[in-house]
Amino acid sequence: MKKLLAAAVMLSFFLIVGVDRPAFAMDREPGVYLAQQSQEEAAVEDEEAVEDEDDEDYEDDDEYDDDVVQINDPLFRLNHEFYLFNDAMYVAFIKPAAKAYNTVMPEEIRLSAKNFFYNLRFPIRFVNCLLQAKGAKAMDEFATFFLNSTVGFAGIQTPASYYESLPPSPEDLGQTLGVWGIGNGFFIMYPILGPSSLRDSARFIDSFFLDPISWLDLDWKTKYGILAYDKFNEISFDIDDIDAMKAAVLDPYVAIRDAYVEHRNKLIAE
Amino acid sequence: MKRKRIGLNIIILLAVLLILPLPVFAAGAKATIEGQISKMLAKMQTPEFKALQKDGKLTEISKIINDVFDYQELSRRTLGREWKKFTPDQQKEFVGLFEALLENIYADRILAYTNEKIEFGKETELKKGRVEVESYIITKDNKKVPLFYRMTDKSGQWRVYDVVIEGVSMVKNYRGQFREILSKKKPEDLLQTLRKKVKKTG
Repeated sequence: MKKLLAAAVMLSFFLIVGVDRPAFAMDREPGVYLAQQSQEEAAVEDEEAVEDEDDEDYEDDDEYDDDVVQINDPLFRLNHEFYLFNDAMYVAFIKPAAKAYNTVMPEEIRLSAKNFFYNLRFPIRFVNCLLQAKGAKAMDEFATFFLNSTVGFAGIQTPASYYESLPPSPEDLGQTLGVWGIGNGFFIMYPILGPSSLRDSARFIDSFFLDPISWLDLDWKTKYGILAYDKFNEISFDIDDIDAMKAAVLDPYVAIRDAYVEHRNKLIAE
Repeated sequence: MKRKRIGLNIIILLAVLLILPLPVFAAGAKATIEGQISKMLAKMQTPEFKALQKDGKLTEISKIINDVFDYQELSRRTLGREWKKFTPDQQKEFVGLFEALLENIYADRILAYTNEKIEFGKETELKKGRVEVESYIITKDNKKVPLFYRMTDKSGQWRVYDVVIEGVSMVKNYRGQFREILSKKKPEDLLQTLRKKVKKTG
């Protein structure tokens, strides 16, 4: 039954992602489809560029050929609201709590917790390696899991990282779909969970079927408590980076959206 | 017999030099950035540096950073096609402001550095006069964070014009933001936003 459900969810996913281009092209609203807009602008300006020989190096820059926003954002208004909400939550609760947590909890313990959860999610990475037919990477994943689970005390230490090729870069279902040629669809900023895309929302399927925490026979409060702790513990390492990023950028929403897409593209290419 | 071997070696050497003129030529970039970074880290270990107040430390770090980055190239690339919409005076101010912003942020970040290991990888030529130098920061949970420097020798010295962290290019990311602002507003408004930002971070 569980398998059947999984198949059904996957199938509906493909249908949605697969048809999104023609379907959404219909109700395109100017201004919201920034990606589209700037591509058109770029085309016009390319013609101008030829006139100015001095600037040619910058205009016909193969290095940044795909320099415009690479994802559709039809939910811009809603996404932006959620971004503001997430940021307010971060400033009001998460950051102060993480700071307090960091002073109370020694870094070794926080690190052990981070390593433990990463190691635990081995099934997600392993299955997705197989789905992408990356045999060598699946073996590396397995070797990492085996070493860290045994010698590394259930994953709290990372002895596998003494080997040059371990651990391999993580894989998830969003990347698998990407490797199978499925595009992002459009950008989604989830409340609390942060940036994603229609395709990368497949991570919910990952978490539902392949995350060992979801296999545990616990009531939902405990389960989500564990998941929330994991996420919080992870953020506790990043608060300085998050603050630096916010200080550095002019439009944090656009910066996060573009960075998310670029980072995911890199992971998919690997 | 021996002389023959030397002759052969010279021929092989010449052949190799002929086949690989570009990587040999590009070797300067990696050596430059690697040298500058180790210089910076060494400086931060000195007792004189450690005795400084935070402001003094930031000034010291900024001095080295300014030698590392090619702000003219960086600004030019970040604005891309929008560059021409700026008057020469505005362009000049933009370069200055962008420099101040990045300098503040990088100095702050470098000061927060806590002895993570830094490894340098290979360098690849992107185009004539432009190379990418790979480096990796080994985090506390033993993961490799790729940090690539894109460098050009346009200014007569190898300087960084873009930093790519985990596949995310700084120039490209700023370009997206600047485009977004310039699609609705004038260059002067962008400068105003930058001025405020620099004041806040400085």
